[in-house]
Amino acid sequence: MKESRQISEKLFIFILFLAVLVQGFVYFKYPSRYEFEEIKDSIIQLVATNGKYYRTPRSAVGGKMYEFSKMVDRDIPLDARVQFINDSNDGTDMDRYFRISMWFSRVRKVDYNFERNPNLQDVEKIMKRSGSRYLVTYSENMPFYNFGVGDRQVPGGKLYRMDKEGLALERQYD
Amino acid sequence: MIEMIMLLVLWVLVGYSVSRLFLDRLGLSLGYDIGISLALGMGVNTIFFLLFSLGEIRVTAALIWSGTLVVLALLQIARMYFKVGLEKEKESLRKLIAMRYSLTDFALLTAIGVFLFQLYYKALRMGFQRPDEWSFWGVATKRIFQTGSVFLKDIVYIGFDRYPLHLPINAASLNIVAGSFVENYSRLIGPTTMVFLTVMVGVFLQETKLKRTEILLFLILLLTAGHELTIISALLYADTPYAYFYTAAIILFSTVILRPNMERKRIYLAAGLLLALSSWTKMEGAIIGFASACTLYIFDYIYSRKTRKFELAEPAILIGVTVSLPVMWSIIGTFQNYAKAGWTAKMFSNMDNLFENTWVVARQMYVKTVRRDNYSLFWGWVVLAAGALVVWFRENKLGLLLFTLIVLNVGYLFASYLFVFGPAEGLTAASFERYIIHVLPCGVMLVAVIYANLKGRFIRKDLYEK
Repeated sequence: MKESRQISEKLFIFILFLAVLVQGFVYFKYPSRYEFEEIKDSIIQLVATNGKYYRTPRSAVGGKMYEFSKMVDRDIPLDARVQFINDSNDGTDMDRYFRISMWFSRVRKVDYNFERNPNLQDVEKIMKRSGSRYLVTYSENMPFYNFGVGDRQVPGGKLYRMDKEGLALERQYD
Repeated sequence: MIEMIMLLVLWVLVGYSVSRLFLDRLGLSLGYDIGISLALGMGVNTIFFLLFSLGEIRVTAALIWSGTLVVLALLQIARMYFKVGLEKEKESLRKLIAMRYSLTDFALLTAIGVFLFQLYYKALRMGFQRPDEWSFWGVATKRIFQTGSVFLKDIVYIGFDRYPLHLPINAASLNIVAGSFVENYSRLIGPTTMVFLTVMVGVFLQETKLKRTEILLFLILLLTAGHELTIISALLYADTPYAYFYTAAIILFSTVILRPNMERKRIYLAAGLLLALSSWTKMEGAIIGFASACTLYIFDYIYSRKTRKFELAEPAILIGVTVSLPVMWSIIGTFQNYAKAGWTAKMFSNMDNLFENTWVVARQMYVKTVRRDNYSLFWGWVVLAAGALVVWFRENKLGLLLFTLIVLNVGYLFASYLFVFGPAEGLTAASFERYIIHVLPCGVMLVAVIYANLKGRFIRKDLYEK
């Protein structure tokens, strides 16, 4: 009787071993669509843009969006509040601007407005409401809502400043 | 990097000392103390950070080092005062040295070690990659690192001001002691919590009286559950730490189900504390934590009502401690005039076509759970175990508790997709494969309990009948 119990117990462990083996086989046989190397092709593609702009470059030089972030960080006074607007037509939402603000070296007051593609009057209202003095926009080679002009692709980043007359272009980074 | 590892070790030592002091009288194995040590250590650091921020004192590297060391020293003095000696450690060490591993066990243990090590490799070789890392967890960590304070008003964007900061505080502390903000290194917490989660589940599996080979096989079942678990564990995401705190609370609480005569209040307090930490790790944690604390108490009350008298202090401790951190953060948020969470604007936007949406959401949740390039077969085992529990083992208290908690979590997510999320996220069951990680360890534990039950039914009656 004891021997038969032993055999059954081994059988149980064997079944468990098989289950783990099969699960492990499926795990390694079908690599995830979201594996690290594929992130730029899947997740980033999912938000319809190019992954290389989002990565923090290994060196200080390289990565135009990264360099833009550092330049604009230097050009905006430390006490000024920065506004980001959702100016994407490509489904990237605010991802570009989350990343840019993430790379700012100095602690800043930032505001994000998620309303899609606001026009000039909307933006001025948004900035008055939040008390922001600067607006940062950026595009690489993505379809881009060119703020104040309309729908066309304009590479590079821009820094706008809000003064008494309204919003004015402070600096263009090409 | 070396400073970060040293701080992690100090957190473990602080948490371990707290656990040894507090749970010593209960006669639990040393595995419990080791398993929950990181959670308690991170909790102590969070409270420490919070208190200094409230006092408007900037937290610096010197303050973290000296504070942690002082707390550790005080805990050692308290251990001497309360006569919590090293006998338990010596005994465990003796057992560990005397332990003989078969070749199979050794191979399985190596596989687990390699699997956990590769999480660190994955975490450390790249900067932030996923949108949530740079849109919230990373930004919050960096801002805490830059300001040395938990108050992010005007710094983090509107919509996330009220988010829980347990993970960013600890990730920022690692960066503060290292002296610079490094994206890759901020991720150290993910794999480390996964290591301690594995230890904790291993401790629970020991309670099921399974053989060592079986325990190791179940741990491999946990680690190879799905690619989403592997990837998220290697990123600065709150899901793995959340799963660790939540599971640790459940496992610690399960001791009162396994040992009906155990002193309740200490376990309730410790489990409540772990649930409070999980509640302040993710936004949804507050509601889930409260609901789980109520579920745990109800189970214990029902199963022990014939042998024990009702004491109001018990549920008050468990539920009160669980909600303490989220309530405190909510009060602070109100005083700081933090904006409402972003998702509140989208609530009830899926109410049109509710009946049709119910089916759409359920189908999306199903698709995300069974995809073979993600969870392969794992949830299949859990469904089989749940079926066996309902059909054959309804008297299994622990199985029923775990099953209820899984249903509670999945049900909460289902309701969230229908009533809280907007259509874009709700109708696609966005990130369900990530959220379900929270109860993945409970799934493994349920499968193990049912496996032990099946074994008991077919070969050994003494194995697992409670």
